[in-house]
Amino acid sequence: MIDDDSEIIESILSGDPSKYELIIKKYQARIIGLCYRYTKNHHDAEEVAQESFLRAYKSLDKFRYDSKFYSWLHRISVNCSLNYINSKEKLKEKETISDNIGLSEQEDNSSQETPYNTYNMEDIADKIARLYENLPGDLKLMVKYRDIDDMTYDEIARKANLPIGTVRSRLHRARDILLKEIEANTEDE
Amino acid sequence: MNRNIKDIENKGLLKAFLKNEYPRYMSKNFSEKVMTDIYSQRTNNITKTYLIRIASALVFGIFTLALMENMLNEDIQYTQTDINTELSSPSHNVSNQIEECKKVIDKEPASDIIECK
Repeated sequence: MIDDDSEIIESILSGDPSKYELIIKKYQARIIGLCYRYTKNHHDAEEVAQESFLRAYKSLDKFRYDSKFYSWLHRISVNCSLNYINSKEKLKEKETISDNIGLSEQEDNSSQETPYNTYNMEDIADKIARLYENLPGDLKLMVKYRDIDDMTYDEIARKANLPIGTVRSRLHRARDILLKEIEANTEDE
Repeated sequence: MNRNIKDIENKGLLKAFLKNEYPRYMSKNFSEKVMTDIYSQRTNNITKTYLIRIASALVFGIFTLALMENMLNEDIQYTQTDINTELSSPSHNVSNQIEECKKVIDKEPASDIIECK
């Protein structure tokens, strides 16, 4: 498995755009989640996230490897979200008060929908949270260090005073439990 | 679906859940939509590039032709009438009076005037 973003980016820049799907799959949930915090609307959040991924793709050759790819993508998404808010505010200025009431009612209804082609992320998140809480302490700590605190294997090994191999195997076991649950909830119908 | 892509997607989801950075809903085909957009823009760009190249070649050709045409036709002015090739002869008799002229040599060195009677 390709874990390193730079490898994926290099192959995209060498003329294989299909590899960009790996980048989207890897970060889509976090980027849509970020955009949702600005848009407060599921549909708009996906549109802004789509725009963010497109912009990132177009300027991929400008990405300098001095920061993490996600940090760069995060910045692009924040800019896109702010642009969205500005354009929406301009639109609101032109609308009448009655139109505004109609629009907000419409938004509330759309956000309550759970169409068959969307994942209900809150449901899956609840299941993952329960599983995570029930993990054995040593495994839970590895997941916390690596996936929540973004520590490197070396840093974890030093902090937990464990050989790096043990860190890797514990993390693998913990992730395996959590990923199985995700897989069960996101299987293609 | 490709196993590798599915693994990457699931790891991404796991990280989003653990970091509490997930949306309430997410389209199952979100990545496909983005990729479709990317491919269509790529095709458009390729078409645009070809069209621009063809247009540039056409403009260059037309300009060159016009320039050549202009250079070849320059300074040549055609009249709308036929050129008269008939030789015209004098209508009266003329005499050569040059023999009746005497050469006046002036004292001035630079002047050499022929004076007629």
